[in-house]
Amino acid sequence: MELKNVGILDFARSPISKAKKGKLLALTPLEIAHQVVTQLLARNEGLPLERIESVVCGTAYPEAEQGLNIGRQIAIKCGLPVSVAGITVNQFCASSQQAVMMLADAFACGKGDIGIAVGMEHMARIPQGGYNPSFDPELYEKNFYISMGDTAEVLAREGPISREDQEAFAMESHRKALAAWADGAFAREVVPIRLPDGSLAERDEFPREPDPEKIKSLKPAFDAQGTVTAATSSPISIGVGAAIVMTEEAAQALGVKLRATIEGTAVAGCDYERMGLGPIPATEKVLARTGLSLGDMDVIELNEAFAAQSLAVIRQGGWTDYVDRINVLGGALALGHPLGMSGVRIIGTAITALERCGGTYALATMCVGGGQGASTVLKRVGA
Amino acid sequence: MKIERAGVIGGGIMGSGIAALFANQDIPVTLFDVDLDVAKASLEKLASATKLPQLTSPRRAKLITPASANDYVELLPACDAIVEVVPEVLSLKQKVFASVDAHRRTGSVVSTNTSGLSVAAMCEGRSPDFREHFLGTHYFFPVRYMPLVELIPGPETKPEVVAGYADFLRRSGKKPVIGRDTPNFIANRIGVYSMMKVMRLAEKYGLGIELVDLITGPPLGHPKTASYRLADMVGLDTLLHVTQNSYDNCPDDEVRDELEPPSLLRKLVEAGRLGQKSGAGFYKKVGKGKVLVLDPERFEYVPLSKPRAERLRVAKGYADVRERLRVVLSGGDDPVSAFARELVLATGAYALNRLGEVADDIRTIDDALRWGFGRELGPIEALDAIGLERAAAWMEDLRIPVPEPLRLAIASGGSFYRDDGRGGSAHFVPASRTYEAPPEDPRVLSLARLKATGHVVRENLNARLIDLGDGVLLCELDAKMVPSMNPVDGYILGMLERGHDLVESGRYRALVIGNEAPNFCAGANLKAVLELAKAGELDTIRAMIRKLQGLSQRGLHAPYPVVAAPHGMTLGGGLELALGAQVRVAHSELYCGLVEVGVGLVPAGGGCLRLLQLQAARRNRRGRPYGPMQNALAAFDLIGFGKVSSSAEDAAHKRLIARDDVIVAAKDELVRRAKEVALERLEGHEAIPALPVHLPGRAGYLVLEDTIEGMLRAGKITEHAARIARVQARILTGGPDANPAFPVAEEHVLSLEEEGFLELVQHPLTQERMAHMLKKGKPLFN
Repeated sequence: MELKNVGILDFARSPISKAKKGKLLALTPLEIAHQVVTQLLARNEGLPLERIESVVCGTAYPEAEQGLNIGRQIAIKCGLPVSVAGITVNQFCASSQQAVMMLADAFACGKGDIGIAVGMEHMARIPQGGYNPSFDPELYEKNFYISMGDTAEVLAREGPISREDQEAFAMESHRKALAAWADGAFAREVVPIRLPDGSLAERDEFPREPDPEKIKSLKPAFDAQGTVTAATSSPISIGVGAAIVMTEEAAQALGVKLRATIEGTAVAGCDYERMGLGPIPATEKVLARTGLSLGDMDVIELNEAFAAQSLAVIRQGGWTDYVDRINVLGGALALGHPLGMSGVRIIGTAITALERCGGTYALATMCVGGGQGASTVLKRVGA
Repeated sequence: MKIERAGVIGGGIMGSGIAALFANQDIPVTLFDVDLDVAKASLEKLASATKLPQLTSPRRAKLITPASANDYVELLPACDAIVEVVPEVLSLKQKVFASVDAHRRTGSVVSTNTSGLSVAAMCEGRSPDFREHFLGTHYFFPVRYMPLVELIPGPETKPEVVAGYADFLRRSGKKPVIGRDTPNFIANRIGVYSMMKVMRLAEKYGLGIELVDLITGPPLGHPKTASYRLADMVGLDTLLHVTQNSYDNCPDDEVRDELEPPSLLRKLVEAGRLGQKSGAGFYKKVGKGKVLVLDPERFEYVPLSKPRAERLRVAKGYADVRERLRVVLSGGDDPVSAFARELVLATGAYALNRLGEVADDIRTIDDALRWGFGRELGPIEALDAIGLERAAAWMEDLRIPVPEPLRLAIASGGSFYRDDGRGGSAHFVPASRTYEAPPEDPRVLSLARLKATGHVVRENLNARLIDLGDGVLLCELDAKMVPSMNPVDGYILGMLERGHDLVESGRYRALVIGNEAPNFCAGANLKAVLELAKAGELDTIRAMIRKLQGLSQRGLHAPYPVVAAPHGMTLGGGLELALGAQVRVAHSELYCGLVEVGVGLVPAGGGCLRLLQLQAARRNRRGRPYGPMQNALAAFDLIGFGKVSSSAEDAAHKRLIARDDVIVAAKDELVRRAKEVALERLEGHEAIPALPVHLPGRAGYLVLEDTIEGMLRAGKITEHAARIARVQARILTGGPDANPAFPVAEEHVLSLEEEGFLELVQHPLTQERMAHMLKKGKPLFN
C-alpha cells in the first residue's frame, strides 16, 4: 500500500497565560479551545467541514474540565457537523504531538484526509497530578513516580550541569522570546482570546527581561542541595493550540497550500529517572526513518521542560554544533509549558521558524514524564 | 422590626463594615456611594479582605449590590433600614438626609452613623415621619469584631423604633446600649478623656510611650493595643477630631482643660504622621515586624527600649483582673503605680460625673467601655475593684473632687454592683439609693443564673452538669485554672461520661455540651500529656485517648440527642468534643480546627475519623460524592496545616463542622438554642448508625508520601514535620490495608489515630514542640 503524504495546513494557539493570576484563568480550557479552533477555521474558510475525520485533543490530565472526552466536546462546541468524531489522547507532555501523529498515521494509510489536532492544558483548573492520584506500590518502590523536578536534578548532577549554565540558558530563552515578540514573529501563530470582561488576551505572559541578580538569589525549587530553580524550570501555565492536519492530495484537490509536510515521526522510551533525555532516542529513530541527519535540520524545536534537561540533551546527544538552530523564537522556559498543549505548539512554532528563515527541514522534539521522547520531522512546502 | 433589605450610604471602612453586618444576617444590602465605581471598589475590597474580614464568608458579597447616589429614586424605597455613613460633616449629612427624606418609603428606619455629631441637628427640617423613624447608630471599628453599638434616639424618635433596632442588633450578635444625644456619646466621651489623661499623666510622671502602653494594657484590664498603639490604629487625625469635638462642645465639663488636645498630638497630625494609615504615628513600622517608637523630645523615631516594671510583672501572675488592678495601683510612690492610680481614679470620677448626662445608669457606661474598647472592666466597676472607701481616699489625695454617686454608694451599700442572688448583678441607682437588676431576657438561658438557683446536678474542679429544664442536661466545661481556654482533661471527660450515664439511665432525655466562657475549649491539657509522655506513662495516655474516642463515639451514636454549642476558640481536643455530638449549635464567631500539628501530634480523640466522615458527606453539584482520595486529600489539607476557620460559616464550608449545623449570631442565645435543637430532635430520635468510610489505602498514602518527600528534599519542611505528616497520611488514607473499594470501620481509623499519637508523643522533637507551646504560647516548627 502506498502511503500518502500528510502535512499541516495551518496552526494557531492562544497566548500562554500564567496559571497564577493569568488572564486565561477565568476561562475553561474548552472555552479557550473553542476560540482558538474557531479562529483557525475562520482563516481557512471554505474547508469542507463535513470531511473532517475527527478532532483529536491531547491533554496531560484528561479529567474534570479536560475530561469527558474533551475532543468531542470541542467538535460540538465549535459547531462542526455531528459526523465529525472526537477523541482524547494522553501521553503526558507529548499528548498533542501524539494527536498530530495519530491523524497523520491514519491519513497516510488512506483513513480520512482532514483532521484537527488540539493540545490543551489549564494547569490552574486541573492541577498537575490530577484530582485523584493513586500510586502502585511496586512502581513506587522503583521510583517510577519520580517528580519532574527531581529528574532534572538527576541530569544536572550527573552532567554535571552548573547552575550558572542553566541560568544562562534560561535567560537566553527569554531574550529570544522577547525579540521574537518584538519582531512580530508570532503574528500568525497567536490568536487573541476574548475574556469574560470583554477585553482580549493577546500576548504570552511569561517572557520578560531577565534579572540575573534575582535569578541568582532564588532558592532551589525541588532539592535544597540542588541547582534547579523556578527560573530554570518551565512555568505552570495555561494554553491551547490547534493544527489542521491534511493529506497533500486533499490540499491539491481543494486548492489550498499546506505549510509543511510531516516527513516522519517517532516515539521512544528511556530511563524514567532521566526522562529529560527522551528526545535523544526519539530523534535518532526519526532521523533513521527519514534518512536525514541532525545537520539537515534548519530549525530545532526542543521543548524546554527544564534548562538542565535541555542542556543534557544538547550535550549528551551531540547537538552542540547546532545550538544556534535550537528554539530561535524562545522555548518553554520563556513561553510557558501548558503540558498537553506543548506538543502541537512546538510543531507550529517550528513551522513559524522555518518560514522565517526559509529553511527546508525542522525537528520538533520533547521529553515526556515516565521516561519517553517524541520527535517529528517537518518539511516546509515550497522549499 | 423586620429588615428585609437594607441600604447603606457611604462605602468607606465603616460603611462597608455595616453593609457586611447586614449581609452576614442574610439581609440583602444596597451599598450607595457618590458613584457606582466607588461603590464597586468598596465592595471588592470588602470581599477580598483576608485580615480581619468583615464578611463571615467572601461569598456573602453577592448579597451586596453597589449603587450610586443617582439610584436613590429607584432603590431607596425598597430599603427597610437605611444607614448613612458619609464623612462626619454636619452639612453633608443634612444634604444626604434631605434626599433620603424625599425618596425613602414611609415607615422605614433611617440612622446616621456618627461618632459624636448631634442627632437632633441632623433631622432638622425633615418630615415628621422621617424624624419619628430616625436615630443615631454609632458602630465601632472593626464592625464585625467590636460588639458595641450606641443607639442615640433623636428628640422625636418613636420608642418602638429604638427598641426594634436594639432587638435587631442583639440578634445580629451586637451589644447595643442606649445613650443620649450628647457630644461623642458614651464610649468615646469617656474614652477620649481617658486617652488625653494618659498623655498628660505620661508627661507628669515622666513615663515613655512604651512603658505607658505596657501599663495601660492587660495590667489595667485594657486590650493589648493599650493607649498609643490604639491611637495609631484609630488614626491620630480622627482622635484629634473627636477630642476637639469634646473640648468645643462640652464647655461645662468640670475638667474641660484636660480635654484640650496635647501639643504632641497636634504636632504629629500637622506633620502628617497619622498612625497606621500613614505608616507612622507614635510608632513607626519599618520593614517586616520591626517597629520604632517616637522620641517626643527629638520628634524622631528610635529603636524600642523594651522597658520592664517589676510591679507589672507581679500583676501579670493574676488571672483575675480585679486582683491585677489592685496590685498595679497599690505601689505607693512608684511612678508606675502613681500614674495608674491617677488615671483609673480620674477616669472613674469623670465617668460618674457623666451619669444622667450621657446615659441613664452606671451599667450602661461600664458596658459601653467594655464592649466598645474591649476592656475587661468598665471605669466604674474598676472603682468597685479598688474598694470604694479606698478609691474615695485616693481621690482626695489627688485633689479629685469625690463625685456624689460615689459618696452615696459608700453610704448605701459600699459598692456600685452587688450580687443579685440569681447569678447576675444589680447596679446602684444613686437617685433612689437602691440596687436594680436588669430585666431577665427570655432569649437567654443563663448558666450563671441556673448555677445560682440550684440547678447544678453534679460538679467537679473543671466541669459540671446543669439541669436546663425539660429533661435536657448540660455538661459545662469550666476549667478553674485556665477559664479562658478550658483544656480537656480527666475532670471534663469524667463529667461528660456521667452526663451520658444520667441521660442513658432515663433521668434526662438529651445532653448538651457547652459553656459561657470566652472560648468553648482550646484543646487538650497539653501540660498533663507532656508530663505523662516524659514519664513514659504511655498506658495512661492510651487510656485518655480511648476515653475521648469512646465519648466521641458514644455522643455521635447515642439513642438520645447530643448537641454541642461551640464558640470562639474550639481547637484540637475541643473540636473533637464538639464533633462527638450529633449536631452543633455554633456561634457565628467560631475559630475551630484540628491544630495538633503545631504541637507535633495528630488528632486522636476521633478528630481524624470525624473529618473524614465530614469530607465523605460532601456532594458535588450533581449530588455525587467526591471519592476516597479527594476526601483523604481534603482532610490532609485541614489537619496537615492545622487550618483554623475564620467563622462558623467558613468552618461549615471547610467541613470542619457539618454543613447543616446551626449557626447563631447572638452568643448569649447559644445555650437556649442548643437546648431547643436537642428538644426538636427528641421526637422520633434514632441513633445514627456506624459510618464507615471509603479510604484510598496504600496507593493514596504513597501519593502523599511522595509530596512529603518532595517538600522535605526542597527544604520546605523539616524532618520532624515530614514525620508528623507521614503519620497523618497513614491515618487519613486508612493504613496500608485499606482498599478504596471497601469501607473502613470507624474503629479501624480510631486505632490508627491512637497508634499515630502514641508514636509521636514519645518523640523528643514532639515533646520539644509541646514544651514550646506551653512556654511561649505559639508553635515551634522544629
